[in-house]
Amino acid sequence: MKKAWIIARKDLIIRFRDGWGLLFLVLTPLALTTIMGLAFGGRDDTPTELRIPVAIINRDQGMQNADFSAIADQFPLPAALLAASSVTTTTNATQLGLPATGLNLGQVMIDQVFAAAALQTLLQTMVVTDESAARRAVAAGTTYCCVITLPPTLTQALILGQPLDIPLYTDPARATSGQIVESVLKQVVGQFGGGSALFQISLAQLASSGRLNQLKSLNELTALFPQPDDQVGLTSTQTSTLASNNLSETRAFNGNSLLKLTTLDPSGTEVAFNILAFFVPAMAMIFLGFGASQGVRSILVEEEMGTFARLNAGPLSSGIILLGKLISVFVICGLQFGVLLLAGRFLFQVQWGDPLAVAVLAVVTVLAFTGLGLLIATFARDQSQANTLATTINLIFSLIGGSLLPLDNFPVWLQQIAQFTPNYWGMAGFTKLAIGQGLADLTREISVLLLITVILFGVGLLLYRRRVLR
Amino acid sequence: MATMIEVRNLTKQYDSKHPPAVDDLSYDVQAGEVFSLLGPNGAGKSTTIGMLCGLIRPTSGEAKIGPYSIRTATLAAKRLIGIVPQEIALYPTLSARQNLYFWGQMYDMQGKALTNRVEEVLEQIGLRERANDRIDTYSGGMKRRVNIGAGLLHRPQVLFMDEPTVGIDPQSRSAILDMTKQLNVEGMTVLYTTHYMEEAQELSHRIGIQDHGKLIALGTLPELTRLVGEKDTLKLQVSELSNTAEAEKLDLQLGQLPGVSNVARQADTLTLLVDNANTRLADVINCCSAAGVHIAAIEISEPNLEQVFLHLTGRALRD
Repeated sequence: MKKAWIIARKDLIIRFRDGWGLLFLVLTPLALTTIMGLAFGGRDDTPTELRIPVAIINRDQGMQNADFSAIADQFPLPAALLAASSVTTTTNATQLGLPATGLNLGQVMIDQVFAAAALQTLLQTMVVTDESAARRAVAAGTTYCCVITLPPTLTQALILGQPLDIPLYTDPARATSGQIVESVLKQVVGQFGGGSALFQISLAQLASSGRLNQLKSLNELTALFPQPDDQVGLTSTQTSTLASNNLSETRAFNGNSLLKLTTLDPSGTEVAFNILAFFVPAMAMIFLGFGASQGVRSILVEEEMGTFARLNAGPLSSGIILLGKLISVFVICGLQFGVLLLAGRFLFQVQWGDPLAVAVLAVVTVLAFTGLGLLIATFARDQSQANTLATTINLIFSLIGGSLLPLDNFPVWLQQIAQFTPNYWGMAGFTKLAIGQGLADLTREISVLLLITVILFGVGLLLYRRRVLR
Repeated sequence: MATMIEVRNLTKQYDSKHPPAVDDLSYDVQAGEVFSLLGPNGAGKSTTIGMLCGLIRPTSGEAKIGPYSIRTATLAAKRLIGIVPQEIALYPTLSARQNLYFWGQMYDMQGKALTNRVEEVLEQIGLRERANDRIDTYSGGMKRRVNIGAGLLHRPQVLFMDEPTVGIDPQSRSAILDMTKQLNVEGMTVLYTTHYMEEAQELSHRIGIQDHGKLIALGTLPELTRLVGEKDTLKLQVSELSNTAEAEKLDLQLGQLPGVSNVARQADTLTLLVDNANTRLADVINCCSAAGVHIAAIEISEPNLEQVFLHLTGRALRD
């Protein structure tokens, strides 16, 4: 094992002496990311609309005043809400100004939350009644990207803190849009839900007083209330990240316009969502592919120099030699990836959210690409063939894996193929992080990346063994 | 004397479509011996060394380094050997000192012992002054010397030297041959492959001649030269004939002259094995003149390994 570290250290010394190589590894992707970000309207003050088309079916039967009053008495109103709503005091439902027809939180969500100006830049909500037709339209890739069905017991469940299942029907071909809608829905439900009747009463009171319409955004509204932690799987950190993150997504929706979500940060300052949250991991993954291939290709370089045979003639196993080479590749690629993510954070103000989730996702992504590099290097006859293979495979993977173009533009069959690439799962993971999700939400992406790693390493090791023992 | 390398029916066949690269080799190399494998390019010398170093898996047969089988105790066998590959197997962007350190560590050397040994080897190869320069700034001969230094750093009991003088100047070649002799004087067993018969003659206690993967002769220099009797080598530098048919006709006519046993052609050089070359010279010149061939130079030499190879294979060593 010690010899593996010595080999890795030697490789690192050689790589760090190659100034041009390092330049390629780090500065080139950084420069490209910046250029792409600027070209596609990264950080500026003009929010770009995303307007993901969402069909909403409201089946909520609401609650009658009589039912509502019975429980409203139990809850005091927070001072911030009182200040915001001009309601003096009392917990009486009638005094709160509830509509005579009772409360329908589904309708409140549609009228006051989904219709809020801030969300309108993100979602284009349309209330429909024919759920089947809406789902068909989603499946066909027309009209809607998602269908949200608000269930009949929505109000009751939210008020009484009962378990609630809100079906979200998404187009698998528009995975990123689906993730964004899912995340927004989680946040909305999170603000309403979690058994906090106080919250619902307050919200209803705000709605009835007309105060809700004066609020500029969902964030401003939610800032008035105690933040419910972990109500629908979002931690306060994640919720905060979602609210403050410079979220972005390239979309060619409705006429190929590139779109961007704008929201408010916790301080209430409006910031533009940053398209670089897409481009940084996208570029990082493209160059990670090249970096890992180049790194593992050093086996072929050593083979041609004769040092590989000399290593194998020494008293160490071929596995230790490979381990040493892979450690150095992992370190260099990890550094490259890390530098780009840090640059995204500190140069471009991209919020990645939970550092542990970022670290875990970065590690498994680098591992998967290292495995890909190993497979290419051990499969290729020589350096020249490896160069051609690496360039071809990395470009194809980048293209169909969503690192060059958003996957939503591709046909479903191509998106299914994309799922065989580490780029796809890496991008999916970083998109989730960028929209405020955490480690628990990345289980699928991390698992698949690990599976890809195991498969690539497994085949790569078999080929390596065959190569070493001629 | 103990046997240091034991080779038994060693065979390597890369694929069934081609003849074996190494075909049923068997020999022993004794401790303290310099044993040369002589043969033209493609004779299977490097494949043989590759198998003895554990780099190439034999198709059949067995070999031992000391008491260790290269098949079943590979790592133990590898500890006893040092290798000087045909290529400059060094890291060009690292210095000579860094390269030697690295290769020493690969053989479990460390600390002060490694530091001292690196300095000792740098002294031995005459590169102490430039030890911190990168390898890619060195001349071909200097690189060759570091290449050897890396192979003997861990004081191996057996040193495999695979054509260590290919492509270098005469001065560096001479230095490498001297170094090899010195290592042997210090007790190291050396297995040396070359296609230069002069090197094999100068260095070796015994020589194995390998051709098309087979060992066709084995012995000391006097034992081998006795195989060709008292024949001299007659080398003629001639003008090129206009076509192959004429050249083959001349070769045939020369071969039919009394006392001429072998004729080999390489570019503009004809090599003949001749009984008492001085008395047959006039016949050879007349034959060439009759064929319209102009002779630019004539060289007569006493029996040597080249003649042995010509005698055994009908081809010149460098064909």
